[in-house]
Amino acid sequence: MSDFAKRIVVLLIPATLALAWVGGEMRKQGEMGRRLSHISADITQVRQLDQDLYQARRKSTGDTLFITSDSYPSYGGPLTVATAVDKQKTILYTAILESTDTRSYLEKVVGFGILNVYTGVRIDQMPKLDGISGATISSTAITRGIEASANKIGVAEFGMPAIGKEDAAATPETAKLLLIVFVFAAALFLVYKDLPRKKQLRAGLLLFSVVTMGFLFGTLFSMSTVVSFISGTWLEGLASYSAMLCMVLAIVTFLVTRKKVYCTYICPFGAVQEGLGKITGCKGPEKYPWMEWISRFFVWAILVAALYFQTPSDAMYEPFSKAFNFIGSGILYGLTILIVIASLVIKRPWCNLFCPASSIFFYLRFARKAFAPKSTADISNLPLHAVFNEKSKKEAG
Amino acid sequence: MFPGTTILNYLFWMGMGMMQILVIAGAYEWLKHFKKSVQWWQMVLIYGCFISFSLVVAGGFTLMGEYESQGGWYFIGYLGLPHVIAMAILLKLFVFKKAPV
Amino acid sequence: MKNGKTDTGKKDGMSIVSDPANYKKHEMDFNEPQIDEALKPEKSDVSRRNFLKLGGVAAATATVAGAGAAGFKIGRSDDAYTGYGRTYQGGDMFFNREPFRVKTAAMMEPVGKVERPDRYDFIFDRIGEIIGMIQKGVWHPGMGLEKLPGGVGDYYRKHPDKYPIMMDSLQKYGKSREDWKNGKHLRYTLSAAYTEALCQGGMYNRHGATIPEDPDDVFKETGKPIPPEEWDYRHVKREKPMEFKSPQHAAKLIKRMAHLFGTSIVAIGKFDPRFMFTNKMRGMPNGGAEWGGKVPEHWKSIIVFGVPMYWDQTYSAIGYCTSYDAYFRSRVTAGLLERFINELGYPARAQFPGYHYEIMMEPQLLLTGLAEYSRSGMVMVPELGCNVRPAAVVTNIDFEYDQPISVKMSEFCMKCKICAEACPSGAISFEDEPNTVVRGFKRWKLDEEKCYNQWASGQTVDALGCRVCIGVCPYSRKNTWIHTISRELEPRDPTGLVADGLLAMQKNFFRIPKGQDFQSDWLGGKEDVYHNPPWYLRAEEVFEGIEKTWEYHGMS
Repeated sequence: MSDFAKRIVVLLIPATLALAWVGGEMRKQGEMGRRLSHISADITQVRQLDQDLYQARRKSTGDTLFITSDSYPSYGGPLTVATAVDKQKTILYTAILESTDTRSYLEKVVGFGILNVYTGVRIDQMPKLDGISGATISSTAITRGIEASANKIGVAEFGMPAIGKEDAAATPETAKLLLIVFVFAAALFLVYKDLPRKKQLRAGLLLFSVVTMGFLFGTLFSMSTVVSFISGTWLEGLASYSAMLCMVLAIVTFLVTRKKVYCTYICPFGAVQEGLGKITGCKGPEKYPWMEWISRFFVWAILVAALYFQTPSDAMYEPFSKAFNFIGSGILYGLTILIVIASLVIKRPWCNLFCPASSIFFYLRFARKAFAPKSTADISNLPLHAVFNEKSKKEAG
Repeated sequence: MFPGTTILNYLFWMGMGMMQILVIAGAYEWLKHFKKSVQWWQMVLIYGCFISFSLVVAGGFTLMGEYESQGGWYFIGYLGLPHVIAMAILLKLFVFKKAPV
Repeated sequence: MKNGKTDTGKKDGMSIVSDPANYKKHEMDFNEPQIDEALKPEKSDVSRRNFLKLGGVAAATATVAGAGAAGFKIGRSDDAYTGYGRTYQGGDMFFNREPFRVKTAAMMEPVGKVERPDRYDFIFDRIGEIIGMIQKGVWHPGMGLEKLPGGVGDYYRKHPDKYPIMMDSLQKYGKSREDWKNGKHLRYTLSAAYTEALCQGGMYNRHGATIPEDPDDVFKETGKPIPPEEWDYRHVKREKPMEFKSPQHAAKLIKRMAHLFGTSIVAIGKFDPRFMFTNKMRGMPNGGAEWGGKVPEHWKSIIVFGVPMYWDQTYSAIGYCTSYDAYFRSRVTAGLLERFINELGYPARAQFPGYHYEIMMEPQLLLTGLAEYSRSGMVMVPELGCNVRPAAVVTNIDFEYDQPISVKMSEFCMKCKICAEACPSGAISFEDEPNTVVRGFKRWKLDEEKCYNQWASGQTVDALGCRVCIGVCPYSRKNTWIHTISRELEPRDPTGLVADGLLAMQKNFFRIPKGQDFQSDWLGGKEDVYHNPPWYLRAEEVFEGIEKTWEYHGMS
């Protein structure tokens, strides 16, 4: 493949993703009205009064309804709720319109019955939900979103005073961000410094990462983070930036060191696989080019679809959260089990065969090579002993 | 378990018990095949892991019998997997000994 | 080894040298066995080794398979259905008739003209008519067979040998009834009371409600107020009640009878007037709206009992379950027990569903140790979870009373909240701790207005009942070994780790629909179910003309 062709290919990828995103934006417009009538089968004749304020009718009683929506930062991006209020200021329906969180995570939370707490409540007598433990980022987003949208209707139609928007709920966010920075710093330290017992130190760092980034905080980045990053939903505010930071640092360290630092020293899922493989002492799988290309095509296709449909969470086909947090569908569950068992037989099966990170790193490497000057690029990619062999090979002719 | 009879139940469990002798004898035979040996308490642990796994399978299928099929499969997956891993560790530690992990 | 012959038959030098026939036997020579022969194991050793190896693997596989199969059969077995068991599952028909089918049953081949039986072939109609005539003074035995009027007279004139036997029977009947009245058969007191309870209390009671009799129905018929001092003694015939040897004897007997009358769980406590309604007394005008706070003197002890609703249906709330299977059966127990106690000479008043109460049932279950309090406002029984519909009988017998229990169910409720998440109307509190004070006690207060709101809109035939919270409660489970382990282990664990582990499994392994999904479709719900309904409640699978426009998303 000529250099020119390679550069075109490199540019095509982000171009297609951008197109997908634009298409997605265009699709979103005009959907709002349709979405609102889906809140309940009883709602009909939705028409817009103002930005974010709609009027509708109840099929069963013919009563007038006011509907608003409001967004609040949640785990993967903004979460949009809608509230339908009748003329007696009573909330009749609440619903989640849009969310960047995974469906099953939301089901866990929404099954929390949070939405029901507000049904039948008057908007000037909103309940206080302080006595409830286990509030999460998503449930807080829902309650705040409903409070805000109910208040919007109150202000617009019933002359109630407006309430100020509260700050996003704090989780141990600073702790998570600091942890990620620390882990990456430690990894870089191990990469550059020639230390004795490097194997044990790497094992120690991986174990630490599994416990903290894996089980404790769940800060792995996944395809949904990638999609969220590309589509810019994080500009509207994220409740937690840790996954985004993790992704950014992983890419940055790759570009700087030209090694997959994240994969080798940090990724908790990879660490689990490697640990299991150590028990049986198995070897890695034989990799064929067609397998790698299928994996790369798959990753690209998922990105395009997720950007078009604006559902970053659907892009997440990795089993991380299923393994660490019980979140995910039944298919991911089966996949997790298979990978864990396969780790006893093949070394790092997910990493070697399916992980989208490999495809993304491959793309970045490919892009750099396509645009960077040729000779140094070739040699600087090789490990030291190969460099010398290369040189000596050339000298030998 | 066997509707319409009162004794098949007992015969079934007697049969299951007798099979365990075959399991353990077979295990020792396989050890001989690989020219390995284990101490008695190590065999107790390995067999215990196997029985514990069987209990997990029994529990999951009991849930399925109670018409809670999803619960059953998740039960087997989430609780059975650590057994597979534990068995691998035990075999590596006691049988296919190399350097400890 | 070769015989020293090459393929061509020619002997070559090598073969000559190596032919053992050419060896000179040296004294030191001995027949060394071939090396491979020495190492080759005995045939039987090989096959036994292979058998053990293969057999071991096969046995291990069969063990796991057997564990799975046994687990499944246990989960589905009739014995798991606490309170219902084999009978309701059809398991009592355990004999396979198919190999024995014949065309004609024994003795069913006609041998003469087949005639239909006549009324007077039925002896009880003959007895009834004769006794009726005697009572009306139309005939008496002294008048003889010839004067016996009516169809019964014709019958006995056709079969004159039967007539003296009938007359003798009537005489003996008279005497034996006199003996009973005079208390001759004290030794049969209990079996007599049992019989009368079932016959007169169950089959042949005379007023409105089938069982138990309700004073309100009698008040409606007669217009006469019936205070408890009258109603509770209505079937007492003895002048003095039978005296129990001790309160323990009394408690033991009544509990055994309660089980014989069909209840799953039973306990006896001191009647606590704190939990009696004011201004409510059946049999009085307006249901006792002017009764005030009087507590009848003879209301000293209360026997509480209960049965579960049928399991598979309860798990398919809302549209596929009912309260009435449990209501009906606990009412049967209440009516029979009430009559039994009357037969022994004591007053008894049944408190029974659907609304025939002067007392709150739940606190009495708590006080007697049958149950513990729960988040959903209902009581939870260790054997049945929330799936229990209680009834009671109030009496003045001196019993040995049962004490309350603590199996840490309420502590589990603090963490669990599954019922609150699943409640379609949001009527169940999400508070961690029960902080609402209700008439002097701390409770998780159920919002009964919201709860009824769901009943009124729900997909039941009478707009009564929802029962989602009962089905999804982790304690409401059938009786299998895995639940027994949880039930026995969890309260004994001081660290609470078992509870945490069980709760984590319950929330993550099981699919429980969210509250709104249970609602009717016209309210935005999906009429979802936790378990799919059993086949015998799926009308679309049995009848013509029902178009299936819905999907089942529950577990099955």
